[in-house]
Amino acid sequence: MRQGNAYTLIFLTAVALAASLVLAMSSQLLKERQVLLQQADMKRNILIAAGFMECYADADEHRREMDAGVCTDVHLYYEQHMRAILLDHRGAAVNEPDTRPELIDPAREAEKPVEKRRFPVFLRVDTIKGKDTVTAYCIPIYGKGLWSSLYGYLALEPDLNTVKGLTFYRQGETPGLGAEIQSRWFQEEFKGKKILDAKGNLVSITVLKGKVELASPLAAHQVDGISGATLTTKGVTELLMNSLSMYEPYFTMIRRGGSGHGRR
Amino acid sequence: MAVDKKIFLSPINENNPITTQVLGICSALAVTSQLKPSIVMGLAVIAVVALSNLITSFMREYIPQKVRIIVEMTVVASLVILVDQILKAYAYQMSKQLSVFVGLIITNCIVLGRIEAFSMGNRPVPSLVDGLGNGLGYALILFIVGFFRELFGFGKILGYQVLPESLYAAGYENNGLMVLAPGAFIILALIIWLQRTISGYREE
Repeated sequence: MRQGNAYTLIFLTAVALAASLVLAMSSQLLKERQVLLQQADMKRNILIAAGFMECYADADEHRREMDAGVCTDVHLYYEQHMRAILLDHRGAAVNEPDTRPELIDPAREAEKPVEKRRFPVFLRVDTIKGKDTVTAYCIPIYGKGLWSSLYGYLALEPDLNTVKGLTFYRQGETPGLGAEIQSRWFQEEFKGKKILDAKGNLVSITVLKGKVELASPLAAHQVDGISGATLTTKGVTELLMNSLSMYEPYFTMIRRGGSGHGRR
Repeated sequence: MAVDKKIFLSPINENNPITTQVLGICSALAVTSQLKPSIVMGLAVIAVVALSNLITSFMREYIPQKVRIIVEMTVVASLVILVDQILKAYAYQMSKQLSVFVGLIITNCIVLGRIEAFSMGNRPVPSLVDGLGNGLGYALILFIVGFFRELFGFGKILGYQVLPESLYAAGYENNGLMVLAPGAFIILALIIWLQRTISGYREE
């Protein structure tokens, strides 16, 4: 057996070089496809929250792999119907051509000081009577569940009060319990709920432990919980409140009639 | 060159890395709540064990003794990253579901165990066969655990409902325990019990 130090060093260098060469090559070869899939997955979730592509809203559909055709469909649909804008913490639109609003990672943003954070908004733009009209405001929602970070999107109607849709696209909660937040019945519950009280203050939406009492005055701000997943749903309640309050300056401005967003 | 059939068959049955050696339990518990992730994880481990055995066996004469483990880990880690990249490019949703557990194949004792115990002292072809056998032995247990956990936990197999509605109407309910890690412990223990009863293996 060869034991010399020089031999050992040369051998290790050669192994390290070979390994890094293989990995660099594979990363280069696969990168394009990975980015395509990752983006399609994210855009699909924005579209679902904004009220498109209902057929993909099922939890089982979430897990189905997308082939190249579906990816292209999603990209085209997204380009056609959605506009993305970027806000700072006061809700003012910022123009940073180098930042893709779609690529902003809410977890990384949350670590920055508040004035450095950027907040993307995805606008669903439909042509109504020949005029481009915003029909949904879609924002990323992010926070902690019981075991994992939860990532999703929440879309509001143009009144910026009524929920149009909600999706969770990444989570690592207990399958069958907390992971049910990804199921269709849970996400459907949010549709039509209100985030503002009668005075116009943000109250967000609370996931209850148990069922909503329909007669309760708060029923418009509540949804049924998931049995066995109290801590996950508590996380959902918290992250909705947190995410919505970040966007409240911008939403308030729009509600008062400001445009706030330049056409892109 | 004739390869002893036992090299391939023994790790699948009487020398199974999970049931006999009780290695690689962490991932066996974590990814088996449904059958499909179990299958993908099993395939990933087969690929990593077989290829790392093959590559280290080729290098075995040249690896300096004192940095043996470092070299082995470099090979294993590169292979695992490769598998992870391929999954991300061709099975994105699955890689999201398996999350960190693909990366954790690096620390799966089976991989390093086979390199140290077999491929460092054997020719490439038997080493490849040994890796395939051990990977398959591991994957097989994952398939069985995943099958039963999905069946009892969700009433489904590979996402398709197999338990009929009438059964639920008659008062049957999915077993929530099967979805959680303890469900895997119980099934795994039952398999180990069954397998050791048949093979007559005794802990010494």
